[in-house]
Amino acid sequence: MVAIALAAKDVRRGVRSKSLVLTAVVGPLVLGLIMALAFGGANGPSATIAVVDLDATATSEGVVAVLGDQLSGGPVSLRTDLRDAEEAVIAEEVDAALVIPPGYTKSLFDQPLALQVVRNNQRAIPGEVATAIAGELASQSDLIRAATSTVVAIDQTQPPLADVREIRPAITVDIGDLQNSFNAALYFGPLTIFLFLGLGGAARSLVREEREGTLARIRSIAVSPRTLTSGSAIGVFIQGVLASLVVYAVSTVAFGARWGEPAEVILVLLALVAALSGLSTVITAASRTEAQAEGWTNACAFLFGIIGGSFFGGAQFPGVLGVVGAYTPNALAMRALIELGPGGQDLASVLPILAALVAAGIAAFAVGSQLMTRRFG
Amino acid sequence: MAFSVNAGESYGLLGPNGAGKTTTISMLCGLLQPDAGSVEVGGEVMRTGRCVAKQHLGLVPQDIALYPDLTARENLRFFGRLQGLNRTDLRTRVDEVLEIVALEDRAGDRVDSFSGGMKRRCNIAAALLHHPQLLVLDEPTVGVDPQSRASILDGIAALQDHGMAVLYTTHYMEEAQRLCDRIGIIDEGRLVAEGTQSELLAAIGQHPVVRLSIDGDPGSLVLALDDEDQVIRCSTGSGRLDVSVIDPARSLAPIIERAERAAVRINGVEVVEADLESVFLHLTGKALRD
Repeated sequence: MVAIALAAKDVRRGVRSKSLVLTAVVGPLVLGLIMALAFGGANGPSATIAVVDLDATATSEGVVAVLGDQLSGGPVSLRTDLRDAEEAVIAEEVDAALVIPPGYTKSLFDQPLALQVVRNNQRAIPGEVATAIAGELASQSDLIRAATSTVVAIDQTQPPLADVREIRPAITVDIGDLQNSFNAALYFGPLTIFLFLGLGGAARSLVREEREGTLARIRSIAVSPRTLTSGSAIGVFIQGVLASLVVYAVSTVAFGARWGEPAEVILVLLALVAALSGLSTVITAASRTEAQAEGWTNACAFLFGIIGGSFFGGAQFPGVLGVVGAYTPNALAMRALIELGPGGQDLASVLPILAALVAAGIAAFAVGSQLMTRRFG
Repeated sequence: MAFSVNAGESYGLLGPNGAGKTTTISMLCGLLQPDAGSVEVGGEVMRTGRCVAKQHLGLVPQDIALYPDLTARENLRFFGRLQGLNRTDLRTRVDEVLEIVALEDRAGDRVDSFSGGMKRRCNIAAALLHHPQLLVLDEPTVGVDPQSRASILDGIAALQDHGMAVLYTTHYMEEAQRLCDRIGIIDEGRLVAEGTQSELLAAIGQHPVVRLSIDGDPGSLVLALDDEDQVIRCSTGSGRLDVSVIDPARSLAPIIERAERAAVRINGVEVVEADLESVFLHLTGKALRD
């Protein structure tokens, strides 16, 4: 009850505070809009996907043709050689490559065969587009396999390969939707950084209250230090959720951003806010002064933003920085959001990412709370 | 240092800057844990963290301990909820304390729109919500205009009349003289004197002075007053005789009578009261604002 009162007070002050609104809401929206306009208009960035047809059958040619139709003759670059495709990806002539392996057509009547994707770590979003296309093709192939198996079961005869071309229209991939689903990354990237900055400010509320004198009054009241820090943490979390939901809603309604399924998006946002709230709390608790806490928060936010790819549409650094960056909260949350996009993974497959974010938040909060209790107890 | 404040009593804690007033108050309110000794409020031992003693205490910090971006009512509701008041009691008490500090009309306004005096009054109101047995006021009238100061002091006196114990620190000697039943003077972390105002004055030999403007030789009058019970000592100046007395009201008539008998003509009489400032200076060697 007391913790809720403390949190409600912080939320009320946060909502009235122009700095939080500017930092955590206006900032990401404006930067996202600028990036959207700079990198491909309101529909988001474009991606050029190479398709490597190593099967070279009428069926695989049909698949390539379908992909070409869906992409309106735009971002598909047909290759016949895997090595050529890999070099094109490395040289950034294309953003990613989808490989139809030898035996693909045969696999429609037999055991499934994995489709391959060649990705460039610095072009994460196109890589995810290609992966999503591969996932969609695999699902369509499963349907064909199920249909042909049924025919085999009834007639005990195998349909001629030529007949497969007749079912070609069934292999459809809505590339437009796939691409549009990722324009939210332009808002989500800045959101993660600005949210970190905003939550850092919210997490410093106890330090600020110590300076302003209100903490002395609170501490003269029968409130336990743990309740005090818990209330503060709840307040930080709620402010983060409100700010991210506003960015989500406004970017969707006003700027046409496509984030994915609302329930899944909200889950990702909650997990991200939990992680960032915990980090903000521990940074504040470990800092000696309000200014020091602000400095550390800013440094961490921008470092995470850069190595986690939040400023560059998911682009990651090569080598160690890339590995570390992939595990920053912003990069993990973006990965979850991208994987949940149309044609991508289901919620269960990204649960480990979300659980990791929440666990990191809880662990950081536990450490921060302990330090805060020692400091303000 | 040891002192107690009784119900319905107002106790002034005076000391120069750096004497230890804030440290003492911090320990009294459970903001600091004493290295040795203990503090009890309402029979409960005070300590840092959560403890029952804090339920009996209301603190009015020296700084305005309110949220400037919240309204007066929102501030009071928040602190009332922390004090554990339920919804019904909270509404009633918020209205009551707003009335006590005369801020009913401004309850819905943000605190940052208030004048200094209104902020001070609201600062006091936040400490009264839970009917504390002991109200601790740390220089509650700093930077306040005379009208608001009078209003604050009247309000505190009224609370005292209702049985609340008041612990008061101030730099304004006249406030301590007006408000406090007993006064403790601290210096360098020690309580150097304690008592009522007259007890403190007497303890350092400070007495009121009856100052006579006279014609002629005061020597005969000095001799005549030598055996007067109320008179402590006399000192002479040019056309002036200062008579230190125990009680000016009771000593004035005998002094005039002895002057007539000694044929000393009195042109004027002035009573100069000793005050706490001189007590403070005597005990600490510093003025109160040093």
